[in-house]
Formats: sequence, structure tokens, C-alpha cells
Amino acid sequence: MSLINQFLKSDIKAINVGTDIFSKSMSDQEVETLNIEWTPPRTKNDEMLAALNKLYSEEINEANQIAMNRFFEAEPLLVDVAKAIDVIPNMTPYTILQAGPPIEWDHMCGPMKGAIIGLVLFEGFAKTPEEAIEFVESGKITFAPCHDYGAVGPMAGVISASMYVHVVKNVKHGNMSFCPLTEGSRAKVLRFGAYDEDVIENFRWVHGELAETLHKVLSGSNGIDLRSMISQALHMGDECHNRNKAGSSLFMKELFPLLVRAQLEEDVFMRVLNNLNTNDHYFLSLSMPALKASLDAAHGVKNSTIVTALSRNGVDFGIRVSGCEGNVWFTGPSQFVEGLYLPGFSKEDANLDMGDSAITEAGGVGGFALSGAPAIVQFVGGNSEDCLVITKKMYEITFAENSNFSMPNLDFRGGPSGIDVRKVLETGILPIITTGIAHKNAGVGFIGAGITNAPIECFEKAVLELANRI
Amino acid sequence: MSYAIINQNKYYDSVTLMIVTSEITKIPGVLEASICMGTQLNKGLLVDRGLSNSDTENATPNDLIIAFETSDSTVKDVVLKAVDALLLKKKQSGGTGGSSEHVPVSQKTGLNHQPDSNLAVISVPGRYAYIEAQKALLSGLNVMMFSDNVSIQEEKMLKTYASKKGLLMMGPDCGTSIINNKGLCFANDIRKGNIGVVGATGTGIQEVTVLIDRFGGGITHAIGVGGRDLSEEIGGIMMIDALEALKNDKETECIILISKPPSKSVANKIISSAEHCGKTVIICFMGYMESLADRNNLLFASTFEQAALKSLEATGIKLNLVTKDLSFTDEMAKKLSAEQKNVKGLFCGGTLCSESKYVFNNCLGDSSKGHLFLDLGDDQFTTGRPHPMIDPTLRNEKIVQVAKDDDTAVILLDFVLGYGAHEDPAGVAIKAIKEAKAISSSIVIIASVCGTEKDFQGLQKQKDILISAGVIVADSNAEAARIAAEVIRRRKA
Repeated sequence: MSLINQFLKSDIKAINVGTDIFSKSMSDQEVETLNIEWTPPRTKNDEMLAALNKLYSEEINEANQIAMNRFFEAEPLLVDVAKAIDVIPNMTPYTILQAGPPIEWDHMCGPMKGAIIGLVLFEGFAKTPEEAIEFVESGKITFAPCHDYGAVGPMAGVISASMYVHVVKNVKHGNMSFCPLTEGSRAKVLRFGAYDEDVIENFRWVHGELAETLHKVLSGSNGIDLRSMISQALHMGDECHNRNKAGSSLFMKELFPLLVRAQLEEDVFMRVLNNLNTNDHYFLSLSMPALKASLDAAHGVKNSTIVTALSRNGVDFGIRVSGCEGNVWFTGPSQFVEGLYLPGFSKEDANLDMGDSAITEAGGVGGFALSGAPAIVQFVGGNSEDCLVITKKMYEITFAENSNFSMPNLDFRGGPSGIDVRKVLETGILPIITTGIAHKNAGVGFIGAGITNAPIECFEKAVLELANRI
Repeated sequence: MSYAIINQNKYYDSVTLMIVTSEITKIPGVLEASICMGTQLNKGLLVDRGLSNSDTENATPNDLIIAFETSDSTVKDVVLKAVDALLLKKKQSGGTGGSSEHVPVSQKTGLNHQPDSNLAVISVPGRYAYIEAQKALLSGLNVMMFSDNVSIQEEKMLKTYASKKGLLMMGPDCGTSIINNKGLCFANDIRKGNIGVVGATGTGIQEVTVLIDRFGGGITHAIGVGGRDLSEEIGGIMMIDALEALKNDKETECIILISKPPSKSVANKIISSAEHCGKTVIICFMGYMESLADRNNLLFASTFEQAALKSLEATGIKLNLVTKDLSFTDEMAKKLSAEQKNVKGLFCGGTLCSESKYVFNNCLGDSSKGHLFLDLGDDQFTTGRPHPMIDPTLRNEKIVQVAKDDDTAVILLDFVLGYGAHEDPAGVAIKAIKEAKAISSSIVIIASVCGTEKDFQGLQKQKDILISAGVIVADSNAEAARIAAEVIRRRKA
């Protein structure tokens, strides 16, 4: 029997898109009817609407399915902690990688400049902050986005040659990703733009004794499964971007026997243990490369409209889309972060949204997994109900549901996964990001945390380009 | 005093806002009002009516504009409160869950809530309708699309894809379908029976199915395919698929195909596929059928009335139709003055207007010039206001207006009942009808009511309202046209 004849034989179950006069009259006839609260797509002009129209086809849905399958199948393992120059392809002694889309030194925000000053001092290219600025302005440093090198860095996201990075391997597809070691539990840290002596000294220790110890410790492991760690942390109150207490604890649980087996000297053991144990955000520098490795596996599927990176440099917000292979960025302005501040700071001090850490939202956690992390919404004065609403909203703009990352407070429904640029333009719902806030001036550091969103311009540009490529 | 207030990111559909606007206009002291979304079209209308300012110029299609002019400043707050109250009413009746429940804003999440859906009913503005239909088809849903102003290329793409997937793409610009006794958009409550209808005309389907019901018959399904399906560009894609489906539908014994004036080659293509259908097929394509004689399983009709009657005969319902004696019109005709020589037809249903004109011209032959047959559902009358079937205000104004013309002998009206239509179209016309009679007592007012007793407005109730106001109520739209022609003929005699 043809589909039409099947339809004629069955009871109507209708989705009503448009005026509710029609849904009411169907309900009056006892037709099961669901009314959609439709709004016009956020297309700015006829050209953009025509581009969006072109993107609804079986080919695109199939391409998106392929991209999502690759993402779901990826198996990211932490395999090593190693020096950036030794493991990141195309890294040079004078390369500094930075968060977000490409940006010139002159246009960088305060905290990113501060972090770079700190790295120039750390690398020994200069002795004072003034000399460091001079060194950078002489053009000796090559800047590039971490993402273009397979890496991700939180906040300023800076990576220089001598820094140590977590090395993550997606053993399913064979690709690698990298993320710098984190600096421990303190407000004044280099990645937030601080660079005083104390900061640099701590930084040297992290990329010295701590890094070498972790390298040694991990050589006794077959790789630590990060995907399953994210899955578990999501069931323990983390959203794996701005709350990482559970993930960090799970990681310690995994690491502890390895630490013991490495037979470290007692004082080294205690310093390392103390640093790791007091850092509730350690896991962010593992969830990020885990999701980067998984999303890179989904990148480069022709026609796919799935977002494979959300990232910001503190000035521009950039996205990458699977259907645009290679290092193609679609940018818009970085947004203000609504949040809570440390005593003595206010929103006047805040830098705009910054860091590669929104890779977590691109991977379907962070703001997308808020439903299971009610502790986070306190940052914006919300309640646990708001968390559920935000995650439910994110299903409107995602292509799939990820059973690996299930949402405990939504009856373990698969999390919203795979931001679809079409749906963002269609609904006007922007990806929600939970994030830290840096002081807008170089040299200060972490001042708060909160919630923000991606700007619509990125998605507008991506839709135009994807339509152009069909 | 002129005001324009913008509420950003507050979307309401145009039908809702047009109804709100008409309520606001009734507030004493309000000279002009337009509550609308900031679309290019609406912004242009605001400029024309002197209600625009720099804020309205910058509004987007997702921004609500409340623009109005008042005789004094005290009315401002009254208007704003009234707008809020009217829109709140809509919100309260529209939600689908508690406060924490996310109300779906896209089909995708709608399908999560109601996963076994099989139909999308789409009435969004035409420029956005393609995406919604395409998404529905991609998800395997059949589509009923009320939206018009969809480009012919988009219609072709949607119908071609739907046909490939084996789904129904009813529309764009599809006003009426009845599937399994359930009326979609504008439809009447019709008895279940054995006649299937496929129509490229909304009010045409309503008139045919209403007449079938009135004479004791019933229908299996009435599938609307949109007014342009039989155009050269579309090539009747959906009428052919729907015909095939009714051919394979065991309960359907006889099929009626109706359309607005079709392309000749498409009409021929459809006639030839109907010829191989194995069931009796009655074909009524406006302005196309005169020259064709019935053959084999094909019966041709030139009016909806005739199509309905032929389908009833074909399914074995005996009709004792006697030619109606229209001599009662003589008395009225004699009272008309020398100037009163023309008929003014004011229609809500576009195809009812066409049918009426065709029947009228047929009765009077060449001497039918000077008469007016106006489709008030036409784009030129519906820009910025609801269709007259939903809100008959404009038609009521026109009734009074034509009554003032010296040449008006007859005012010819249609009243369409059923789902989607105004709750009391006859009732709200009475004031205008009485006014018209007061202007000229000799004007003859003739109407037909397209509806059944089961329609929530009630056929007899609507007829009684009209009869008690001195309106001659015909049994069909075609008969109303014949009576009008008879008045004009006798006037001359």
C-alpha cells in the first residue's frame, strides 16, 4: 500500500506550524495536534533566506549523520604529557598558538597580550614585560590559532614550544589533539593574562617538575579513556566546562595507582599530589582535547552543517563547520559574559568571552549539559529549573542526541549533540556557553564566571558559505 | 497623536495580529492602528498610513510593532493595555505545558513530543513556507500548506520531492482538505460516504462536498492540492498522485476532480490518467469543460453543483430534481428603477466567484456586461488584513458601498461556514444588509450558504438570519447566480 493510502487509512496526528486557528479547529475535531511556537528564521535578507532554503536536503542530512557517527565513535585516550615542540606538528620555537580564530597582536585583548608577555618571559626571549612587548612587536613571534594545529587552550589558550601539553589520541580514527597543562588552583594564572614573577615561577614548575612527573607516570599506562570519564562526570553534577569537580576526582582516582607505581621521591610526590588534588578544574584540560579529537574526526564531511568548533579569542568568536574542510573560520563579535565576580571586581572589569574551552559546548557538554549541573546556574542567579530549560532549548539547535553523554535529570535522554548551523538561524536560539571571566587588562587574571552565548553572525556566514559550496 | 512602540523578539502570527488590530481600532479615540510584525511589507504599509518612524524602520520580522494614532493622549495607555490583554489571551491558550516545560519552537522538537505524527499543517508567511514544508517532507510527514505567496519554483521542488517520496503535498495555497472525516484549515462537517474529491480550489471543494452532503451523499476524502497544481509549471503532480491514491482506496467508488482554470495540456494529461482509473471520474475544471461530452468512465461538469449531482447519480443516489420555478423574481424585477440594471457579486470564496460569474454569463449570454463579480479573498484585498472568510468586515463595508451605486439591481453574496470560518458570518452581515435596504428598498439581495447543519455555525440558523433580513437564500452558489440572472432577465422583459 502506498504511503498516501496508508495516511488516508490512519488517524491524523498533526504538527501545526503557523496560525493556531488551525490547530484549534483540529483539536476541536479530536485530531491529535501539536502546535509549534514558530518564529521567522533570523535570515537578514533574501540572499540568506535563499541560502538557508538550499540547505534542507537528504544529502545534507546524510552528511550530518556521517559527521555525527564519526564523533560518537571517536575514542579519545590521554596517552602522554609531552613538550609542545616535540608533539604538535609544525610547531617552531618562535610559534605561539592562541585561543579562538586568527588575530593579530595589535588587535588582541588585554588578557591575551598578558598571557603572551608571560610566555615570552617563560621562553627566555625577554627579561622584563617591556622587553617582551618589544620582542613581540619586532615580529619575531608567529601567532596562529591552536585549533589550526590540532590543539585547544582554555582562556587565552596560549601554547609555546617549551610548554607541556596533554596528548590525546583518538584511537578509533588515529588523529591527535593537544591541550596545555593547567596551572593549579589560583586566581592569578597566565592563561587569564597574569604574568608577574609569582605566576611565572608557578608556570615553570607546572611545565617542569609536574609535567615531567606526569610524563613518567603516564608511560606506565595504556591510555586513560576520557570519553567514559566525561560520561560519568555528567552523572555527578559536572557539565565538564565550568564545573569539573567530579571529572577531576575521577581522573585522580585513575591516576593515583599510576602515581604510586611510579615510585616518586616523597617531596615530589607530595607537591604533585597537592597540586592535582586542590585543582577542581584539572579535568577541563582533558575534556577539551578529548572533545577536540572527537570533533576533528567529524570535521571535513562534505555538505555537513554540523559545528566542529566554537572558539573565541576575546575579541572575535569563531566557529568551524564540518562541511568546510580545513582551517575555515566564520566569525562574529565575542560576547559579554553574565556572571558572578570575585570580591572587588565587577562587570566593568570583565573582558569579553575568551578561550577554546567552548569546544565542550561544540561537543554537547558545558552549557548544553546544564540540566545535570545545577550548581552552575548559581553563577547567574538562576535556579535548577533554568538548567533543565537551557538543555531542552539546546535540543532545538542540535542534529542528534548522544547516548554516551546522557542527561540524568532528563530521564537519561541522550544529550543535545552536534550544533546545526541551519537550526541556529532557523530558531534564533544561540548556543549557551558556561565560562570563566578574565580581567580586561593584561596582568590581572581570573575575576569571575558566568554564562554567555555564541553570536549569530558566525552562523549567518557559515550558512552563506555552505550554500555556496553546494 | 501618533505612537509607535517596538517590542523586540516577540513574534505573533499575522492572523492573530490582524484580529488584535481590528479590536484595537474599535476603541473610542483610536483613529488608526496597526499591530504587526516588522516585515518589509508591513513597514511599507505603516509608511503609507503615516504610522512609521525611525524605530519602525529598524524593526525586524521578529519585532512586534504597535503603531496607532489617537485623538487625545489619554487613549495611549488604554490601547497598550488592550494589546497586552489580547496577546496574553493568545499566549495562555497556546502553551502546551507547565512553566518549566520547553514549548517546541521547531518541527524537530515537535516530533520528539509527538513522534508518530503524519501530517504538518503549515500556515507561516509564504517566504518562509518552503523550509517548513521541506523539513516536514524530509521527516516523512504529509503536508497541508495553507501559506500562499510561495514561488512556483519552490512549489515545483516540493511537489516533485513529495511525489518521489510518495507523500501528499497539499498546497501551497491549499484552503481545504478533509481526510478521514477530519476537516483541515477551512472545511465543512461532511457525511462519511463513498465519493472521493481532489481539488485545486479550496472553496470549490467546500461547495462540492457541501452539496454532496445536502443531497444525502457522503465523501471518503477530499484532497486539496493547491490552486496552481494544474498550471503548466506544476503539471498536476499532486492531482495525479491523489487520483492514484483514491483509485487504490477501496472505500472510494467515484471520484470528483475540480480545479480553477487549468493549463490545457495539464488538463488533458489528467483526463487521460482519469480515463484509466477504473472508477467513475467526474471532472469539473473551471472554464474548460463546455466542449467535452461524457465518455466511458468520464463525466464532465461545468459547475460544482453539476459535479456534485453527477457524483450522486453515479453512486446510485436517486435525485428528484425539478427545475425550480423562478417566477417569484418577477415582482422584484418590476420594482427596479431604470438605472438599476447590474448585479454586484461580492464573494469570500474565490472559486465561488468564478462559478457564479460563469453560471450568470451562461444564463444571460452576451448581454452580461456591466456586472461585477468581486473576489474579496484576492491578494489586493487581503494585504494586511485577514481573509474575508475569517473576518468579513471588508465585505460588509462593500455591501453598503455598492448599495449606494445607482446601477445596482442585485447584490449577490456567498456565506461560507465550517472549521476556520467566522463564527457567525450571516449575523455580522445583517447590519450592512439592512443599511443597503435602507439606501434602496428595491435592491434585491441574493445569497447562498456553503455549509451543513453539522457545521458549528449551523446551516439553518445562518439561513434564517438572512431570510429574516429579506435576503433570498438559494440552495447553491450556482442557483444564486441563476436567480440573479433571472431578476435581470425579467427586468428587461
